[in-house]
Amino acid sequence: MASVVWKMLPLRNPCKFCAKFHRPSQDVFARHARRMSKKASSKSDWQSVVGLEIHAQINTASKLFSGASTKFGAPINSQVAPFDAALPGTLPVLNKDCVEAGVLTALALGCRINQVSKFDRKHYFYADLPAGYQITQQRQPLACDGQVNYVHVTSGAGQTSTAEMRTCRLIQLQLEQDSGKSLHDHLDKQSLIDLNRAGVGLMEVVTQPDLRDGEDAASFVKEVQLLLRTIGTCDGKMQEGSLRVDANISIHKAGEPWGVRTEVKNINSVRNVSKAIDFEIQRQIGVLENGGQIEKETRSFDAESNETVQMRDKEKLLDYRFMPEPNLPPLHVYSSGNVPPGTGAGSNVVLETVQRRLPDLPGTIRDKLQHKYDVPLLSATLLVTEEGLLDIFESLMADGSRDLKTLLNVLLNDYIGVLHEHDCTAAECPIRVQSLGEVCDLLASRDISQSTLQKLLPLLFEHPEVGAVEMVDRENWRQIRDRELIEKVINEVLSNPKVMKKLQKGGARGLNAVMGPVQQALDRRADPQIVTEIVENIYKNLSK
Amino acid sequence: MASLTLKETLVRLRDGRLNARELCERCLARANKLSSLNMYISRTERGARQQAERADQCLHKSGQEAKKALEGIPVAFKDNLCTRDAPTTCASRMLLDYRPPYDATMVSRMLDSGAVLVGKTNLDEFAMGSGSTDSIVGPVKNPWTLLFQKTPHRYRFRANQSGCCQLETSPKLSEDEVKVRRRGLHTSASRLSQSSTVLEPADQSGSGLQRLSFEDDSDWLVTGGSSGGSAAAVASGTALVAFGSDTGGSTRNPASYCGVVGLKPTYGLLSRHGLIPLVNSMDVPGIVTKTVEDAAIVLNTVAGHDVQDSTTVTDPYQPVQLDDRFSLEGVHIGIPKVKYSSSCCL
Repeated sequence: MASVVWKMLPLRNPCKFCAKFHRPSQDVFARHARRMSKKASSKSDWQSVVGLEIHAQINTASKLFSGASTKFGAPINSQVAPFDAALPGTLPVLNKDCVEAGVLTALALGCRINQVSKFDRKHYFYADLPAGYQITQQRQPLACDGQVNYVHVTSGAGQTSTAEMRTCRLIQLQLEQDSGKSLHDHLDKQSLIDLNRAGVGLMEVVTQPDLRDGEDAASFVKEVQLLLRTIGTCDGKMQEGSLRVDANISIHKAGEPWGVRTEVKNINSVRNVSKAIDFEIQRQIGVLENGGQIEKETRSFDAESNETVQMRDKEKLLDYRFMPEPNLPPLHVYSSGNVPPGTGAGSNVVLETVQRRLPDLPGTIRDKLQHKYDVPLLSATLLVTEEGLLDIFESLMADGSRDLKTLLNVLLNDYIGVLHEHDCTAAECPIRVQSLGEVCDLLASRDISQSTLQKLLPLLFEHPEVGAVEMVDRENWRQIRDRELIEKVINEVLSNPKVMKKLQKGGARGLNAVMGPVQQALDRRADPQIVTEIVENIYKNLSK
Repeated sequence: MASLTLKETLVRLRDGRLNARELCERCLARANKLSSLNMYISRTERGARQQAERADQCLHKSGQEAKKALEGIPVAFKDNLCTRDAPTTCASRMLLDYRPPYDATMVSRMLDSGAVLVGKTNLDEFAMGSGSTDSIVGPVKNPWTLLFQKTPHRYRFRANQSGCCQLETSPKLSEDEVKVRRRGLHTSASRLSQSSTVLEPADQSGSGLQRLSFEDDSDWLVTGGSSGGSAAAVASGTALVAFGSDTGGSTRNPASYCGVVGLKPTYGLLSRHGLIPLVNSMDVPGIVTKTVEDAAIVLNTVAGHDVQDSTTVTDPYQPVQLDDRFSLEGVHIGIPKVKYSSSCCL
């Protein structure tokens, strides 16, 4: 049997195929996973189809049709303009910043901007919708088509992950109002309404049903979050409600027409996007395989039980009585060639002006990293996703002498680990970039070992004023690379007949028998590579 | 004073022959006396007095600064235009206690021009009607009713509860009745129970004038609608200009019935911010005055783009200038050929 490195699965993650807690070796588990997944896919050749409706709150100072503030976390009902409360006689006034944000987002998503778009009323009765209708864009939205190229990361067996590029096409992007928030107090049998959110601008992005399953959808949502944050039109925080995702899911057998789709709402994190969709797919498979039928319904995701449940009162198909919004004229997005002259020029939205605000998009940056520095896709994705990491990477690669692999290893494994442990961003982290550079150089030159690195970074976080080299010397962590010294110690160790016997038996056991005492003698600072080299040489000479 | 036009009043206010406070008092007293006509849903007596006081101060300032266009002019607003100082009910139980936190643009532009708000006028509920008969505070009665009742006609047209015209032979009037009716529009008659709401009951006009009243409940003529209260307010001299709203004739109709000028501006000229809507794509605020020149003066004061109403025209407003030497020469007037059914009266 080849030398096996024993790895343990952490207790809290059961095998996703057989739900048991395994503690096999990596290889054994990999084989098990392959066997089980083959079984699962041959059992039913169901194909799942997923489409998403993403609602992103527009990050502007005031709401879409009124001047009330949109700040998160304000006291209840303190950011409500007369129009948001639907007081009689009030009229909507379109917020130019919201339109520009919509246009910017549409450009980033590769959409075609409609030069003229219209607003409509969508009627339904609910306590958090004071006017009894939502102003949206049903007939002619702000933008059509478009597509998102996103990175799909598959978490493979054990610790490996692979990254591949996928595409999801979009149907349209439209502007609409958000509703207020209702808090249902079951104890006192009353519902409390907070209108702070009523009227906040939303960009609704509707995708084609190009997505396949939960993980796929989650990767897509992550990419959209990243895009929105990069262009600054939405902060994409699902927990705060500034990004909401509704999923439309259906299943069918290959070659047959698509099945009835259900809608899943109330998903409040990226992880839950994956869980909700996967659960719904399995539920639909279960229903159909038991001879049942899928109802076209809306279901709610229960984050505690990780299941989708029927929403209590929403069974009938609602007639929204769409009508054109009479108080808003058609929305024009002009190109610099056809801006009408005269008054009102300041309130015109001009496409080229907005286009100039487009920064480098994540896709472009990933491509640059791959082509300029030869960074693999997965690493490039991580560099772009983690805020501030890209700048550190580029400055450390600036002089061109650093080893890429080492740098990526340090940044993406250990440095990110330190950031997460201290719950801070790269910008907030006190470790100086210069120190990081020194750490990379030390690692590359094998002056420190991997395990030392894991001790070094946290220490540098605590004492950022001390340079890396200084710290290593202070803690006396330098690896001993002096060959003569190591050889001497090895020979000393081998003078012990017991150790020599074990070495003569060969294999990993033999090596370990020597490595142990050598490291002990050298304060655990001997370069294991050198020790291994010398021992293997000796072994070879022995067997001759 | 009641028969002066707005233009004439402005002249007299400017040169001192009239003062704003006196004008205001007269209008308020008249409104009080004619309360049985049900023209007003609420009257803002205290506010009006304060505004008149301020107007007087501005008028008497001898400085060179430009005087406001309508300083001291009493104005009434239909009760579907939002006012901060008075409840805005739309003549409906739904908004009976509603006090808007803001002024309609028409209201704020008029007040900023120095006008004095005398009250909110009666209307058909939510402007749904063309008779001003369907209001929770009761129908508006045409001020000209009394004038017509002065001469006992053989055939009379009476309004029934729903405001429809009905042919009726009149009974012979007693001598007392004739005496009463001879006195004409602007004098008092025998008492009646109906009166409109007054916001500050303490401020009664109390100058010995009796309230005007009717013999019986059905003995009146309609004002037309739905801005009947506004038209009646101008016709009876309790305000020099009144604002109504016009969706399908609701300012022109009552203006015609009350013998005053009603202007329906083109949609998009006047701001609808604060006008509680009936049909959003057809509503406009309407202007009721005694003469066309008055209407032009008021229109020039309030017209123009409003940021708060996205349906107002953005082109800069060109004020109306009426030709002094007006003549109908060369003017073509079209009269539609309408077929009337035999059962209808004319």
